[in-house]
Amino acid sequence: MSQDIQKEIGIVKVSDEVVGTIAGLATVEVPGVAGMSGGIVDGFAKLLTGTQLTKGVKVEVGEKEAAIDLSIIVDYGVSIPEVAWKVQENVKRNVEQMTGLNVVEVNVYIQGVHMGKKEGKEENRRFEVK
Amino acid sequence: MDIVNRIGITLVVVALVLIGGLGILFSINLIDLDMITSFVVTPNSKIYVASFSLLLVLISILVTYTDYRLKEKGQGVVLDNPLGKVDISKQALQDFIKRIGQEESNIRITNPAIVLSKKGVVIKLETLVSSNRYIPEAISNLQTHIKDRLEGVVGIPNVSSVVVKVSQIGKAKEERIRRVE
Repeated sequence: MSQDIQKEIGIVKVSDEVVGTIAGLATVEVPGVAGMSGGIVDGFAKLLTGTQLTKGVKVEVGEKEAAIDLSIIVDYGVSIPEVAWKVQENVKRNVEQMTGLNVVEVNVYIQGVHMGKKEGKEENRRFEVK
Repeated sequence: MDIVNRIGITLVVVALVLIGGLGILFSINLIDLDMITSFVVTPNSKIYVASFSLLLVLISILVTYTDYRLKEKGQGVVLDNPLGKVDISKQALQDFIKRIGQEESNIRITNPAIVLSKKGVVIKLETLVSSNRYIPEAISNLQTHIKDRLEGVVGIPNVSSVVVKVSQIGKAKEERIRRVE
């Protein structure tokens, strides 16, 4: 699937993957986003192709509009609604600026909270069960 | 889930193509019933057919189970805003609650569960509490802390209750080291 933009001297095609990559990059640059969360298929794709540019991103592109679903992991301690709002705004702005598509919806799925390795180890050290 | 579903769908398609193909071959007289029955009669071919059928059954069960588990796991808290929805998965909420437990001294949260009801979000969890703490006070603090953080940081407007079960009593390692010294 790709988005065709009719111009006077030809057609400009923007593939779904390009939209997905723009969305992915716009997502991870928001402070508070620890990373994208891919499913089994993403992991399998990475195994086969060695690339994972659109991990955690699903894009539906219509003629002039696009809807984007993002699966992300956020850092512990940040305000989740605030981070999600910033992600939505940043993704919408970047995709619209770079592709000319009208982004009608950016759905954010918070799949996990990044706790950091240090805290996890601390937890194990603290207790001894009787 | 997709990969399991795809394997399942592929196997079902293979099975249907085999059955359909046999039907077509049978109908145009390229194969007769005796050939099929003579093939299935040999012990080896019976094992092949049984293995393939068993594989199909197992894949079907696996697909159904995985689908059910993922649907159950994914049903989290949904917050709407003009740009789209924000869906916070149960897994994320569980991670978050466990991390809150780390901030409370001498309490460890082991099994957080999130129940979405009409009245609001109910948090159920099991805890391990240090033996040097007054349990009602420690749990009360934990409940308040969890409710405040979920409402303030996660943005859930309606945490109706935090149900805590003290399942184990532990001893903080620092305390034990101090006593040995």
